[in-house]
Amino acid sequence: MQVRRRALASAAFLAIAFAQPPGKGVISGIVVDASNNEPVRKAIVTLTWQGAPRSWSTGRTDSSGQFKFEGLPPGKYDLRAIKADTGTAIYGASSVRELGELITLEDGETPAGVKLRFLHSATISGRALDPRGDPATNISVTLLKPSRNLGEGVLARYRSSETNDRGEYRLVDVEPGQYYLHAEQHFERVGAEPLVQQFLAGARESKDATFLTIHGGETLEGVDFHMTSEPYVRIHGRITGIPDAWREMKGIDIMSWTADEYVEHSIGLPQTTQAPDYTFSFDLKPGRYGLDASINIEGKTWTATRFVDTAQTSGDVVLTLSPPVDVKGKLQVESAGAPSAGTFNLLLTRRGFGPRIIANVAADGSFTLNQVPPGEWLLNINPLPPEAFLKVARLGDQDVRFARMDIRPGSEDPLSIVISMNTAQIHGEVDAGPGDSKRAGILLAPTGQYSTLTRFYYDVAADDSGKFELKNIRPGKYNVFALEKLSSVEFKTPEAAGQLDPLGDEIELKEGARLEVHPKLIPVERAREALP
Amino acid sequence: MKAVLLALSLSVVAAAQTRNGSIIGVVSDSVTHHPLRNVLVTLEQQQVSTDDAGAFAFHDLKPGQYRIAAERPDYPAFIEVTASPAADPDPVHIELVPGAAVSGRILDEDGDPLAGCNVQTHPAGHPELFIGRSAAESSEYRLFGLQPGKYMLAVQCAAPVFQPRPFSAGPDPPPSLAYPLQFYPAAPDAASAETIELAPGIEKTGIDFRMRPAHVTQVRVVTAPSSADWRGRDLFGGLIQPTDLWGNRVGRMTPDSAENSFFFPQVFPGSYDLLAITLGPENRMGGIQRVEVKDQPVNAVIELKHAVDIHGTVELESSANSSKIQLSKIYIQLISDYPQFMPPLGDKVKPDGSFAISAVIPMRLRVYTHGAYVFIKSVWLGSKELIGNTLDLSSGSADTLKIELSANTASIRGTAPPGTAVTFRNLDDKLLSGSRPVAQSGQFRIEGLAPGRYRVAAGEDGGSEIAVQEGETATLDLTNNQ
Repeated sequence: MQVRRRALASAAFLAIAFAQPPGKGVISGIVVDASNNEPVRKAIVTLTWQGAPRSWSTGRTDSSGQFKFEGLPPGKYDLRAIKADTGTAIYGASSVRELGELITLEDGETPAGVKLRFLHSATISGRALDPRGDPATNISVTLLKPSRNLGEGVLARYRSSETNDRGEYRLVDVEPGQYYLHAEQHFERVGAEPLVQQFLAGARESKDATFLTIHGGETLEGVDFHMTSEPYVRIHGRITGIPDAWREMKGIDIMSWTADEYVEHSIGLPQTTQAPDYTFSFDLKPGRYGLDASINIEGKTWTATRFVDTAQTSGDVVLTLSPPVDVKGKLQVESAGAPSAGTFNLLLTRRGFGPRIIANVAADGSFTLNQVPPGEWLLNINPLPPEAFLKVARLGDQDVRFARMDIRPGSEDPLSIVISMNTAQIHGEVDAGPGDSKRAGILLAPTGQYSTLTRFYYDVAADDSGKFELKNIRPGKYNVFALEKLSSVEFKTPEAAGQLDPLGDEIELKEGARLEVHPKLIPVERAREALP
Repeated sequence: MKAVLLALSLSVVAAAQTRNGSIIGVVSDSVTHHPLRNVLVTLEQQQVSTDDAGAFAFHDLKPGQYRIAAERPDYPAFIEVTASPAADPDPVHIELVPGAAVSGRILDEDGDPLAGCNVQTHPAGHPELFIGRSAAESSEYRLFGLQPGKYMLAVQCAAPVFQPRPFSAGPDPPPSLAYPLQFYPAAPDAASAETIELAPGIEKTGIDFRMRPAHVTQVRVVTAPSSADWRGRDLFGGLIQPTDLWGNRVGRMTPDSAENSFFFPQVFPGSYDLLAITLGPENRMGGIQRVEVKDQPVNAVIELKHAVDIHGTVELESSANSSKIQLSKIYIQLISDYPQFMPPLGDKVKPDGSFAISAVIPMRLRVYTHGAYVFIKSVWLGSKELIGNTLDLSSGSADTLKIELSANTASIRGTAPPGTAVTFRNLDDKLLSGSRPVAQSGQFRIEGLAPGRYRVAAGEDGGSEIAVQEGETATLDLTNNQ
C-alpha cells in the first residue's frame, strides 16, 4: 500500500512537471521577404533550443507575418522558417549558405520584433520542342547536381519535371549552386524517330555541356530545349561460351539497359535469342547501354555483361557466358561491446540493371555470397552502426572497401572483412581574432587517397563561442577548416576542400582518438571563393 | 445490252482482284479540321507517319480489305477504319478526336495555394476507374489528353495540415487533422460529386478545390492470442472502406516486430474493414475484422486464421448449347471484396468437373466463372445454397463447393455509332462488365451474358438499361444515345 501510494504520487508529479512550461521566456517576431520587406504569411517557423535534450517548438506566421513562441527556458536558440517550394529564412543569415545567428535568451526574457529575412528559392521553367517546333510532351527535364560516387564524378538527380501537352516544364525550390539541365524522352513514339537526350543547348555529354549557375531566388523563364531526332542504331551480336552439352537446348535471355552517365538505373528491353547461333539485335536510341545475357543451367545462372556505345560500336558485340561464382569469406568485428558478426548481412549490388545478392553472416563470421555473376560489384554491409567503420574489405589482393570488386570467372578468392567500432572524434574551438564572430561551419576533409570519397567529409556548426564537437569519424588524415558564418555542408567536395587547402589544419586521427583542434577562422569572403 | 454491262463489270472485278493497288488518305483534327502531321498510321506490319499536309499512302497492296489505325500520342484514342486498295484510289479521310483538358487550383481552408495534392479524373459513374492523375508538385494542376466525356474529379492531399508544436523534446505527436478525399466541388464521395463535361480540344479552366481539414485519429492493431502462429512472417495490413477509391490509402505496413502491432497514424472516423494477410503463398494466413473509428484512438484486435483449400465440382445444366461447352475450358475464380489485398484465386476445371483452389483466406468471397459462354446458376456449400454466389468462410467451414453452370446465356445486340465501343455493366455485379467494338456497319454483339439487368452504353456514361432472360437475345439501338 505504501509503495503504491508513492508510485501514484510520483506519477502525479510527473504529470505536473510535463504540463508546466519549461520556462517563462517569449520570442516573437516577423518573417519578411528579403527582396521587398513584405510580410510572409503561413511560413512554418521552428525554434530549436540548443540544450539537451534537444527541444523545439513549431509555429506558423499569421496573415501579417507574425509569430510567437512562449514558455521558453533560458539558453541559445536556432530560429528558421520554411515555406514549401518557396524558400527559407534563417535568423541572421542573408544567404541560405550561411549558418545564421543563435538567439541568446536569459531567464524570463521576452524579445519581440525578431526579424527573419525570407530568401526565395529559384524556379526554372521553359519548354521542350520537337524538331518541327511542336511541343514535345512527356519529356523528363531534370536538374542534375555534380556529385561523387566511389570517388568518381557522377550527376545526381536534384529536381525533375515532365513536360505537359504544351511542352512546358517547371522546376521549383532550387537552392543556389551549379547544375546541369537535361532533357530526355522516356517513352518513344512507335514508328517515329526517337528524340535524343541532351543537356541544355544540345550537348550530348556533361563534359561538353554548360553549367547553369543559380545564385539564389532567380526566376529563370524560357529555358527551352530544342530536341533533335535521330534514327535508331542497330546493335547486333552473338552469345558464346555456352557449355557444349547445353548447346541448342534452350533460349538465352538478353536485356539492354541504358547506362548513360546521368542514369544509373533504367528498365531494360528483354529478348530471347535462340540456338544455333544465339545472335541478337537491338534497335537502340543513340547512347550507352549495358547488355546482359543470362541462361539457367542446372540451377545455376550463367551470365555475360558488356557495355556498348552506339556511336562507337561496329561489327558484332560478343558476349561470353560464364558460370556464377560462390564468394566465401569471413567477417570479423573488432573492439569490445560491438555487435556480434552474426548481426550483419552483406549486400552486393551492381551498376545499373541487375540482381542483388544478399548473404547473412553466421555467428562465427563466415558467409557465402551464392551464385555471383562475374563482373564488378559493390559491397554493402548492413546494419553498420554510426560509430563503426569498414576497416578491411579485401577480395584476394583487391582492396574493395571503397571500390567495386572485380569478381572474375572461376575466382576462388576469399573475401575478408573487418569492422571496427574505433571511430575517432574531435572537439575544440575556432581560433579567431579578438572581436571576430566565432560562429563558423567546421569542415573535416580527408586528404590523400580518400580525398575523393565524399562520404568521409564531415560537417558541424560551431556555436557562437566557437565550440564544436564531431563524433564517428573514420580514422585517417584530414584537413580541418573553420568557415566564418557559413554552413560547411556545401563545402563537402574535393574541389572546395582543394581550393581551401592551404588554410586548413592538417590532423591525423588514429583509431579511437579524441583530439582537440583549434582551426583558424577563414574569413567569409575567402571561404566563399571555394564555392562555384 | 444487259449482258454486255455484266461482262464489263465482271472484267473490272477481275482486274481489281489481280492487280496490286494503293490506299491513300488524310488525317485531320475532328474539331479544327486541320490536317495533322506526325500521325502514326498502321496497316498490318507497315507504319508510316503523315506529312505536313496530314497525308499518308500505302502502295503495292494485294487486293482485299485492310484495317488502318491512326494514332498520335497527344490524341487520347486511336481511330480504326477499313479500306480497299485501288489503282487510282480515293483518299480515305480519318479524323482524330482531340483530347480534353481540365485545370484549376487547390486551395487550403483559408484560400491559400496548397501543394502536395493529386487530382484524379474518374469517368462519371465509375469511381473505381481513374484516368489521369496530376503531379503533386504545385497547387495548380492540369490534366490533359483526356478522352472527351463526363468526369468526376477527386483530390487527395498528402500535404499535412499545419498543427503547432508546443516547446518540447521528442518526436511530434500523431496529427489530429488531415485533408480528407474530396470530390469536386466539395463532396465527400462519388455519389454526391458533380460531373463535369469535357469537350474535345477544349480546356476547362477554373476547376478549383477548396480543402477543409477533418479530424483524424490513430488505430493500433494487435493479433489475437488465439491467432495462428505467424511469428517470423511479414504481415501485410490494410484498413479500408468499401467505398474507398484508392483502396489502401489509409495505410499498410508490416508490423513492428517488437510489439507485434500495426499502427495507422491517420484515420478519419468511419467504418472500416481491417485486413491482415501474410506475404507469400506458402502457409498463408490472414484475417478480416470490422473496425468502427470515432474521434478517439482505437485499439483493434484481429484474429489470424490459416488459409483453407477449397475443393468442388461444377455441373453443367443441359440446354441447347451445353453440348458445345468443354468443362476443361472453364475457370472458377474466388474474388474477395478487396482484390488489391487478396488477389483473385482460381483453378481450371478438370474434364471430370472437379476443381481445387488452395490457400484461401477465410473471408467473404464471390464465385465467378470465365473461359466459356456459361453463367453461374447456383452455388452450394455442402447442402446450403449461397445467396448472391457469395461464400463466407469467416466461420472457418470448408465444405465441398458445388457450382451449377448453365450455357443458356443471354445476348444483347444492336446498333451504335461505327468506330466506337459499347460498354456493358451488370447492375447487380460491377465485375460482370466489359466492352465490345462496334463494327464499321454499326452493329455490335455482346454474347455469353448471365441473365440480369445491364446498362449498355456507346461511350462512357448514359446509355440504356436492359433486362435479359436466360437464352434471350435482346436488341438495342444506341445510335442516338451517346
